[in-house]
Amino acid sequence: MYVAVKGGEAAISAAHELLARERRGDLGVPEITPEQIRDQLTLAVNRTMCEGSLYDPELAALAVKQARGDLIEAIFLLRAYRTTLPRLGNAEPVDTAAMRIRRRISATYKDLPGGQLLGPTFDYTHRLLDAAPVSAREASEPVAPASAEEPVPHVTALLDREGLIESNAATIDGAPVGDITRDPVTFPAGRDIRLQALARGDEGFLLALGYSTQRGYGRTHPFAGEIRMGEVEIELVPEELGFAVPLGRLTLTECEMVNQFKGSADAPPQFTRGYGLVFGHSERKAMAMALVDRALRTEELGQEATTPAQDQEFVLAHADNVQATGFVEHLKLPHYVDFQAELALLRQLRAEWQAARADRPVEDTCAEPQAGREAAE
Amino acid sequence: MPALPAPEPAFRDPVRQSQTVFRLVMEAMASPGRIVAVPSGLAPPAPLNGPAAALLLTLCDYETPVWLDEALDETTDVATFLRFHTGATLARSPSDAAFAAIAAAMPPLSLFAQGTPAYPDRSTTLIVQVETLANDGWRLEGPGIRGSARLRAAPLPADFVDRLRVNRAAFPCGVDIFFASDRTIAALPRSVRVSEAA
Repeated sequence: MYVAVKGGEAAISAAHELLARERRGDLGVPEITPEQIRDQLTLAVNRTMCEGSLYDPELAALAVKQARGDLIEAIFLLRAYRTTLPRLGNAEPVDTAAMRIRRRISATYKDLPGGQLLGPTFDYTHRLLDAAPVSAREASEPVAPASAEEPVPHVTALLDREGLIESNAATIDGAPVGDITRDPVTFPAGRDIRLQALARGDEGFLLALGYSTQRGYGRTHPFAGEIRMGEVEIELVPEELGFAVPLGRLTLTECEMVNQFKGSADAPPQFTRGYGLVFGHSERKAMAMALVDRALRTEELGQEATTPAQDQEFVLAHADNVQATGFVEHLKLPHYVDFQAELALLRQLRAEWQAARADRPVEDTCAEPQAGREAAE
Repeated sequence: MPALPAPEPAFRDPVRQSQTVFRLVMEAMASPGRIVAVPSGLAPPAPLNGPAAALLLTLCDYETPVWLDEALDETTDVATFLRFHTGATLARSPSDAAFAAIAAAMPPLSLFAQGTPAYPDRSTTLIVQVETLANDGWRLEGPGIRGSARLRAAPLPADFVDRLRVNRAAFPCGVDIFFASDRTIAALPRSVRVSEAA
């Protein structure tokens, strides 16, 4: 039980005022604009869109600015705004095979149809701080933006053609897709629900869980079959028209992990899949998601779930950083009455302990009081 | 190609008007039996009346399947009006409906979604058009009513009070009902206890 937060209006408005000033910083330095954030802090904007579950770079940039760069706060702002939006329809599934590719790498084949396209990546930088990373180069001619002209087949499609990897088709065609923003997640959750929860899950949490599977807490022997980033077209079929109308483009990052085998008496061994798909250019998140997706498939692949990353309830119930921050930070709210109850209980336990000690023979000094009740909330 | 007839206009100021109606809807639901005037200024397609149309425009959207009874479904006018202005889909059966609009014969309440003990909110809210709404007749008791209240809605089946008793017995499951006359609404949430006037 929490005491409702009220009163202290003057103090609260003063706190808002201070927040606004801190946000603005030194008035001698030009104010940052959402456009600058959108174009120059793109990866912060991408993460905000991804975990905020709303693809809108302008608003995500505004949220990053308003939140002073606190991305979980920015995600919270975007989520709150998202809840006010009316829904107009369900878009058609995006076709990542038709993605206009800006980056595409595979760690499983050196030479492959469509080739390796490095694109804008930190991977080969030396991680040396550079005080003038861009300005010195601004004057020079921009590098021609590399993008593949023709559709680039998925690496897993190549494996699939030979039957070497489990097929996706049976699990996606025609089945109704759940919606975690409309129906509460119940366990065991289907893969559609799990992927939705992972897609908006906290990058740090998924990264740690994915890492834990690599370190032995539920090994899946993953290979980064493919990571691709680029633009896909999003389409809607309005009922009154009956054909698909393009709505615009999204930047997505997709990761397909190829993991060790599943086979049975009826089916020969095959590679298994882990899948990650996120808004914007968010490779780490897509990879972590794919690792955790595969870990969460342990039971459907006929193995026993024994580690944290394989435990659906543990992973899905704790992946959402807006929920997590809400419950952690609510501890700042007044708990005066709760605390008084705990205090009274502690005083009572101590009084009982003192009384028991006074009654006891002198040599018995290691007695303990009865365990108190669990603090419940 | 022949020109399609345009659907009748809805709220002139959708945001403010739907907020106003939503406030009235809450007032009616919070005080079962209270008759609340709904000035909608709407001219919905027949046989839908103004207050029922105002409720549907306020409460329905793309995600709320709506079931229309035979009278409202006789021509496509009401469905077109509703779909054009709210984006709501039509429910194939009453048990799939988030909202149901009823202009003529009252179907059994058990045909509608009742919710489940874990999710009692997954039930149908009925919007029932009536000719008369007056504060006499049935005796209402329950949350939101100081002592008791009176309500009469007509025409309704003779055994309607018995049906409401069965609905109440299923609490926390069951349906919630709005009555809509030409100018007013009144609500009977599932928590209300209704008896024939003593």
